[in-house]
Amino acid sequence: MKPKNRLSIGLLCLGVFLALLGSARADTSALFNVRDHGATGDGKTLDHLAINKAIEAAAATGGGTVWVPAGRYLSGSIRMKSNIELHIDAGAVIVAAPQSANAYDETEEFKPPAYQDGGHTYFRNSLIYGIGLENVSITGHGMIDGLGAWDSGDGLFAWNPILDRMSGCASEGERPVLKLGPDGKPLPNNGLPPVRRGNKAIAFKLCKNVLVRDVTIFRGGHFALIVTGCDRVTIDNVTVDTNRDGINVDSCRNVMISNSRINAPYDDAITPKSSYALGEHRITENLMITNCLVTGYEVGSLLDGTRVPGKNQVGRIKFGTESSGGFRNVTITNCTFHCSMGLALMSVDGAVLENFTISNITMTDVRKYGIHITTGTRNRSPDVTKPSRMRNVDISNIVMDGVDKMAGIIITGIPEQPIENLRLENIRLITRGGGTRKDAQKEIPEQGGYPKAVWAGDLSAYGIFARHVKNLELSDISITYERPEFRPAARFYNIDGLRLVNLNAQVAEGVNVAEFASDVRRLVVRDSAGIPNTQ
Amino acid sequence: MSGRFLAALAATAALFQLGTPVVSAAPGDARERELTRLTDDYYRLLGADPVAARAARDRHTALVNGPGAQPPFFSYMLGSQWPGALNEEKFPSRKGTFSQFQGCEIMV
Repeated sequence: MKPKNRLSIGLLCLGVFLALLGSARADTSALFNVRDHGATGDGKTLDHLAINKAIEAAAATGGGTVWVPAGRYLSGSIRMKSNIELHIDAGAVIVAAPQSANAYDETEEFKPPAYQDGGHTYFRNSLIYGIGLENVSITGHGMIDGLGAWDSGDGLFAWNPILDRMSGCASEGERPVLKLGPDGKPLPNNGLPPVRRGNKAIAFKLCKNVLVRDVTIFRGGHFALIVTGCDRVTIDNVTVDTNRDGINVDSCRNVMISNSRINAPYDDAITPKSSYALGEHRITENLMITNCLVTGYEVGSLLDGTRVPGKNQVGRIKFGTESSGGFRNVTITNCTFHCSMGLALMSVDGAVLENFTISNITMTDVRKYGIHITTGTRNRSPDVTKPSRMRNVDISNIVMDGVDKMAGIIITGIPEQPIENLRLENIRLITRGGGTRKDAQKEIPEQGGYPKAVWAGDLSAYGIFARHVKNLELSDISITYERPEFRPAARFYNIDGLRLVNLNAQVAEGVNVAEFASDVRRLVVRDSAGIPNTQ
Repeated sequence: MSGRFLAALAATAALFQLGTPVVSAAPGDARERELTRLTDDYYRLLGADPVAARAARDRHTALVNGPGAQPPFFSYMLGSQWPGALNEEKFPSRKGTFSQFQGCEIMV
């Protein structure tokens, strides 16, 4: 090889090397280590200022990954920005600062009245939050520990009476209590000063393209994760073990929740809502919940593996109660419930819940009920002009084993607006039994106001209790009990269009499989033991 | 395998030690021992005899919700977080404290 050629090849290699070096530098420059910005990770020093500096530095360059390496980072409010990935690496724990540290951001101004509680009204007083952002994510195998205090001041508060008073929260069936200014209009924050009262682990409001992946949230305060008014949200492979609500999706669209484990013994695990927190009726739509486990173990015992059945065992998937905007186009598939309440669909604030498919669910040791489907007249929302509606709900391939005595499946519409087009198919329901003949004779009042599952205590049928429905189809249903049971398996009131196909139920001697208590029209029965086929 | 990866792995393992066991049978604490036994029974029996398993769970629940078994303020707050629930004139029965179980009943 001639020297000139050797030189050319050498220069070429050098060029390639420099190019590679340059690209490597470009990669690392997009990674912002919080320790480079002053974070200590010692668990004692307040590190959120350094974390926020790293976020700002990343945002100033157009975005990037803010890396939280292993360590314990005592933190107040961490403010997310657009185009930022907060990566909480394995071994890193962001620990909520005590309230006495005054480390959470002040609540934003809110003009009452609120039709939702203070936790849904204020966002800035969160451990990690973002408002009005795009392309924002929280990832990594690390943990967020909110310490989840009720009011002892150790971490995020789970209870918010101060925030409720500030927002002038409208009570159930009551007028909001508002303080008016000289102009006769409600004073912002009800005339109260803003507070630094951290109460949520992660909150995103009015954001687009949100990703939360892989992280663990322990003791998350009022909400471990809440997204309000967001578009394109992905929550994947998240583990939540918390003292109140797990994941709240409020007035959002295009949301996927997948491959996650949520333990919430004192409140709901996954809770889509459509509150009036944004000052408008905004629907939650295009929502998928798949491959999730929801439980009601004692707090911490999902993470440590002991799985202690909780004191109260709520931990369910529940739509509502806040439902002023409604719900549309939802699928729930491949989910498991354990030691929790069952699935609840509630539309009670004057909007619609429609187009749901729910399939492949197993529930074991279910508190109170397996499935609760209800519309109601709570109407905690301004300008309610129509009764709450519900239609087009298909539920199939469900096993419920060990459901409490109350009733397996509860369906209650309202007389003037029945639930429409509801189909339950391929359901295996095993209840714990224990109902008496007296229970079977009980008059069950209409459900009004807040849709509490306990509105009437144990119901007068142990399997299915249905009232005010138009077009109810029940096919391939098996209902049995464990302990002696003297209630009928099913009881129907005011059903226009009832189709029973292959309903097989265990009943005590002298007890009917189904009671058609009043006003059941267009009844079709096929292949159901103990109920004659209709013509 | 890089040192950083191993460190991260070890740290991850440590991470999951953070959840303090809620039921720990401290020596001499008969109630805690009984709770632990009932939890063990529940999971041991759940496959073979679910009725007996659930009976164990019921006893566990009754024990943890029994008198004096939890701080009263807890349920009071759970109940009073409900709008209007602090109105003790309207709801005299909610004055003072009620059980944690009742507190959650109000919520759900």
